[in-house]
Amino acid sequence: MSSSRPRTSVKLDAKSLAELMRKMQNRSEAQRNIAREPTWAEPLPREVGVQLTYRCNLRCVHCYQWNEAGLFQPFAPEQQRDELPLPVLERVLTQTAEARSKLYVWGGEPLLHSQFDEAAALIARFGRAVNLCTNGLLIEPHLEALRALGPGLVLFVSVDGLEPQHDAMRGRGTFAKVARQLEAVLAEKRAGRFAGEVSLSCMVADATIGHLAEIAAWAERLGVNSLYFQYPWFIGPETARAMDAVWADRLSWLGPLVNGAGSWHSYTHAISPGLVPALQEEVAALAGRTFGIRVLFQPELRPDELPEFIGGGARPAEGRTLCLAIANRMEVLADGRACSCKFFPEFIVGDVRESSVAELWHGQRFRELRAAMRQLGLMPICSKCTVLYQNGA
Amino acid sequence: MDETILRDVKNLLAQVLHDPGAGQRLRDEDDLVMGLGLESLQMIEFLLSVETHFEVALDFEQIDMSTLGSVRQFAALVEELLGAQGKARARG
Repeated sequence: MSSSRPRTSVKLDAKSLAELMRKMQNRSEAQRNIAREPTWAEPLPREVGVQLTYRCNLRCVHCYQWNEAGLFQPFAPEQQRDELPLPVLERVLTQTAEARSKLYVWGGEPLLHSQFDEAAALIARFGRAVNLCTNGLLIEPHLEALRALGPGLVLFVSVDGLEPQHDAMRGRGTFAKVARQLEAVLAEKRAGRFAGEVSLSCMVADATIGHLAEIAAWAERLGVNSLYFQYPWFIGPETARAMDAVWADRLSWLGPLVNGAGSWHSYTHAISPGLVPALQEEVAALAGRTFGIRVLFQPELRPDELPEFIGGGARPAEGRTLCLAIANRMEVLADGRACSCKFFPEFIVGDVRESSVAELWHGQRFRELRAAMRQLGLMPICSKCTVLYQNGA
Repeated sequence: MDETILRDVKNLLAQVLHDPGAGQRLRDEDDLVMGLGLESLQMIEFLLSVETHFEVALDFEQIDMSTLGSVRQFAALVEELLGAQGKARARG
């Protein structure tokens, strides 16, 4: 499995090891509990995904939310502008206080939330660990609010290559802007005035293939914690149709499909098949190098898995067979609805504006959904879910 | 100390380090983190391979820098767990 992984000279420290062991213990116990009782779930979700807003200030070519075929494009204008009200966020934080659930904050672009600073202060008050996924364009105006989140914050900034590649995918001039903000926050970190971590997420795409080594070298010079090369979440037409059939057969009781077709039809951005050999060579070359930061591919595809995965196939990588997220994670959408799956907003289990997190988490809908999903095993679309690789077995 | 456990632990480390010859070269006193330099993903891979190979459930929260301070020390932990869980299985 690790043959595609570049090496790192970064050594584990006691704190990181303790955190890693806690995660492994949780995962191991979850697996044992699920083996005994397939619909088992934690008393409360260990992680809550919070989609602060649907809005975004970019229209990236590869984005399943906001590109031309994007999931949010057909939404009514008022729905496109939806954002999670602070009292609802506070309810979620209060109701998960016992578990101190970690937050995964994203959007859209979360820093565009009209009260982001107040939201960050609220989260800081509850003392939660936060992974925040951002395009990085608005870090500086919100630096004080981000600083308040302390050492539990990891900023995941999307940087899709160096200037030519990034600007081709994210819009002209955006690389210079995000690079400036990254340099500023990392300077604060070096000076001891920002306790969080900064990591980068870079899409493996036609534009970035051939440049991965220079991107990694740039990230290393910049001094970020980790660089994640993300394979596209392309769901091919055949896989999407297979999911349509699974939905019709087993899951349609959950309600209507998003935009009438199923959100999985929006994952259309793909690498050109002709570039696969070049990509395989590049990944192999990187695996022979050692970096002063962590450089990872997500998922960690073996060379023989790569063509099917990036071709949009349904076979999960890394030998994954079990989703733990339905037992330990819940997603809250920008409109307040709660969902079992991070990427597919059809899997609605209720609404945090109307019910408590615990009521939803242990409610009939979620229990029936867990039972259905355990019977199905992984669904055709699960192969592209990052949560499966971070939080699966 | 059961020397076969020690040998198998070294071989599993060699696999994770992608160095087939390392099983022979590793010393009993090598520190898994500070000496061999296992990083987080290698650590996950190694510990899961230990569980599979020895058919033992590790208590991950018992594992810290000191448990990983030498190959021998970690092998001793595996031996202890095998004893405890073997007895439990025999009783069950």
